[in-house]
Amino acid sequence: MREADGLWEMMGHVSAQPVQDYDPDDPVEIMRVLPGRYHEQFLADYDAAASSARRPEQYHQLHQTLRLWRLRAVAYSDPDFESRLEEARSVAGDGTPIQDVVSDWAERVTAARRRRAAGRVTRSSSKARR
Amino acid sequence: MTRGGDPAYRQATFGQGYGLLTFRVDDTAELIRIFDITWIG
Repeated sequence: MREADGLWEMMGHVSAQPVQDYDPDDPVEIMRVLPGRYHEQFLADYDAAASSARRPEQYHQLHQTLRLWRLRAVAYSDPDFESRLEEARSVAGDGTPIQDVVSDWAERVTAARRRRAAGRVTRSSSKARR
Repeated sequence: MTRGGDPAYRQATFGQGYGLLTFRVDDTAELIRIFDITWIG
């Protein structure tokens, strides 16, 4: 048996797949979809997230950043996006009351105020210790 | 996230990271205006 025959036999159950699978969260793919005017902002965010990812506890931040920009790329490449943004900006006083969208809005505001107040106490306490 | 220095411009992801909601918030009047929903799921 030739060496090549043995190799083909060994590969008998291997299907032909590309070496790199398509990844829509790939930064290159994101830049392909994202309008050019956002590239600088994307690259700055990507650079910051990639640097942070060196720390094990912030590894997932890189994935989250890429996913967010993938979503933005899809949103911003919609030809109607800018006109909807402008319309939302120009119509003052128009909108839905937040409590109609977020049912527990009042509780969230109270909790946020409490957290903020607790944060101030913590920060001033740590300052006092120095 | 603000956009172009506009603090009223906000975004939020939903649906385990497959959805993006883009909206403007009037903090004083507590009004929200959703103007884009993107879903890639």
